Amino acid sequence: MSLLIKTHYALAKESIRQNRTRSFLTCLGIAIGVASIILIMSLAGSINNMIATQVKSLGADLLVVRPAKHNDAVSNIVDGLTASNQYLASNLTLNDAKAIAALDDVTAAAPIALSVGTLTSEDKLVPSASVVGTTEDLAKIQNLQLKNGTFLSDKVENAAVVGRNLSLELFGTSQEAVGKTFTMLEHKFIVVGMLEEIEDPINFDNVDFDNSVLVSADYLFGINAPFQVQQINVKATNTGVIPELTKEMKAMLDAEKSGDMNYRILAGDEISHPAGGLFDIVSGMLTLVAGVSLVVGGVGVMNILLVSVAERTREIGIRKAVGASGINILIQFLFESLILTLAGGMLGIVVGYTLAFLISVVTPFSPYVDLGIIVIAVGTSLAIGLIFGIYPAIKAARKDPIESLRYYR
Amino acid sequence: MSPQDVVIDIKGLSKRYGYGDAESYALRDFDLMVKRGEFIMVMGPSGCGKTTLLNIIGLLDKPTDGEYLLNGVPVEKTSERRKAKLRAKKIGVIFQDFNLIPRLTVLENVTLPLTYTGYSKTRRNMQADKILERFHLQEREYYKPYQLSGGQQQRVAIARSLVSNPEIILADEPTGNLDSRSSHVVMEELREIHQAGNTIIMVTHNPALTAYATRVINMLDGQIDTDIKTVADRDLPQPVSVHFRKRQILKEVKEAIVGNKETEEHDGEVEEIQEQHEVEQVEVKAEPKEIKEGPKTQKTARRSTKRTGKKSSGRAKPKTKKKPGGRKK
Ligand SMILES: Nc1ncnc2c1ncn2[C@@H]1O[C@H](COP(=O)(O)OP(=O)(O)OP(=O)(O)O)[C@@H](O)[C@H]1O
Ligand SMILES: [Mg+2]
Repeated sequence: MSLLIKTHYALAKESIRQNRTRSFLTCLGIAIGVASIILIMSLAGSINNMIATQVKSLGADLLVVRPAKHNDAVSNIVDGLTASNQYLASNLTLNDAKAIAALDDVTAAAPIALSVGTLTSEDKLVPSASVVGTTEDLAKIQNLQLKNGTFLSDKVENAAVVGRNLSLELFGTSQEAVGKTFTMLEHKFIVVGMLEEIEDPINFDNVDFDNSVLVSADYLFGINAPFQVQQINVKATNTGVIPELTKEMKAMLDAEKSGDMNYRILAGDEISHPAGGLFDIVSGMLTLVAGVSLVVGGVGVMNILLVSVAERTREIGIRKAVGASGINILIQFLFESLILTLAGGMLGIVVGYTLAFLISVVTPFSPYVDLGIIVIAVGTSLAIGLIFGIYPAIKAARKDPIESLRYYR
Repeated sequence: MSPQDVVIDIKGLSKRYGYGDAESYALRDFDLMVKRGEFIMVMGPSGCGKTTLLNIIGLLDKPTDGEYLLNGVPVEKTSERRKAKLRAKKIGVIFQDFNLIPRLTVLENVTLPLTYTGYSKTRRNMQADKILERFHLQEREYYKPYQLSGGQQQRVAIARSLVSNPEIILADEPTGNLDSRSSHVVMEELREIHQAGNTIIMVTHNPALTAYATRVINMLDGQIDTDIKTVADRDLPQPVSVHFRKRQILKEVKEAIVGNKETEEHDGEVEEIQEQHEVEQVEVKAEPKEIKEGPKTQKTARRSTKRTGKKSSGRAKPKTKKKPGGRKK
């Protein structure tokens, strides 16, 4: 049996080699699909890794409350883009954050309330800038380095802390923005501090701090700015209390929301799931590309095999005449299909990782190489080979020897 | 003669093409009984159904009507898989138009029937080498069919049909493209195979060749016109071994024991098989046994030693059970 397989493998390889260009082109569709899969998975892995490291460095005493319904439906992607806020369904409020902060085991709790506003300084205007409403507690929960000035405080209610890039846009400086003022919704804000340039724009807050301005959430509420509480970051007094604190928070929020359970309390690794709207769009698109090109590639393989079967009708007749059974012919063509898609898969793995490395040069991603990803890629190509190869193979196997022998091209 | 000696038994066979007005019969109410060891020449005008008959006998085509027993088994009830196996091992077909696969070399074409019988590649090539040598084609092993003359192609087709040592050879004008000398070579080969007890049915348009036959059938319009036996049944060459069935069982038992699928139906092959034995005995130093030294032995031995290499050790033993050669050259 193994000998027959070896023989069939040799046969299939031979026939593929004799149609090199055709075989290569056939592989291409599969290769693109597999490359997309590799790219998606390696980037997703990389992002997960990055956020996980971040969360770890923040400490195990971190809890995050997020809306349960992650807004990632395709129809909402556009909304998500314009609002730069993927938790449209959020029903968390600033009061929730305050109530959590008041709990015994909580050191600090800060909401991340996302809004978009048009900011105007003396001579410049930034339309739809990302505005983050939060409290001074945020600085206690996560490590936000200030370049100069101070963080938000209760004392100055219209204080603002600007990110480096936004400061450049708004004031034309990335050095001395402290003391400058800008207007949003006809209200004046005064810059009290400027953030250090951020190393990782991808973080569990899903806020690109470089391009944002931080203001008091209460003040945002006061001036009737539209916003959504995207998440509440909570720092516990120590790691030991986390299980109990989680229960406590749950009980409290349940009572507060009177049964509308649209929130989740996350701790540890759970937090690190990529929360980026952009990432969802990109990976959604790549998944689409992968799916489409795999199907198109598979159809291509089937097409070529059908041509090959027709071309070799006489050969099939001869093989049958000298003793090949239907199964023999079936296996021969199935092997051809599998070899084609497997070769395409291999090519896709190489291309996918090359692309991932290229992307990593210009972005903070670092490609995530994992055996599991490669196994999935290889498995997918084999499955495609099987699915799209079986029909032509059966067609070949069913050919009548005498009619095939009479076949003239 | 016992009924087991009837290899092919055809009764009331018809092959119809088309329906209604377009209806025509390639074979009509055809009866034929072929005994083991017969060498039948089939003659007749073009279009009288000779090729159709061979295709049906060779299990490639199905009759419209009638009964066909192959070795006593109704073909109608035989599974497609079994038929494929029979075609690979028991029946050798030489097609009128050669039917070589253009993209394969001569050697690959000749090994084709062995591909489906579970031989290793080394072994397939060895066997094909030997048969190509018999037809003076060894220098053309790596040619493609289109690089050969018509006669050479025909010889390749013949070599392919004989490579698996079939018991029944169906030859459709095997000398159609050959000059008288090459025809002679081919006919001598067929005669040897026939002498070893195999059954041959050959279509020809050359009356001079009927001298080789034990029976000459003239066909006309899908029916037998004349049927003349030139050799009495009891004088037909018979295989040394007993009967088809018994040998089949014996062979299968052997295969099961040693995992070696070598066929040994034909004494005609004994000489070659012994050459291989010697090769392998030289390598593994198995117990000596009586060997008939063939003239080509030395050369073949050297060449195949290289090819078989380490694989031979597992095979050497069973071959010592082989029957001694029954035929002198
Ligand atoms: N597929 C087919 N459809 C219709 N008629 C067919 C078909 N195949 C064969 N025939 C007819 O069957 C008859 C017998 O054909 P066959 O090939 O057996 O002749 P033949 O005796 O081998 O002739 P030749 O000596 O020329 O090779 C012919 O009249 C032919 O036209
Ligand atoms: Mg014919």
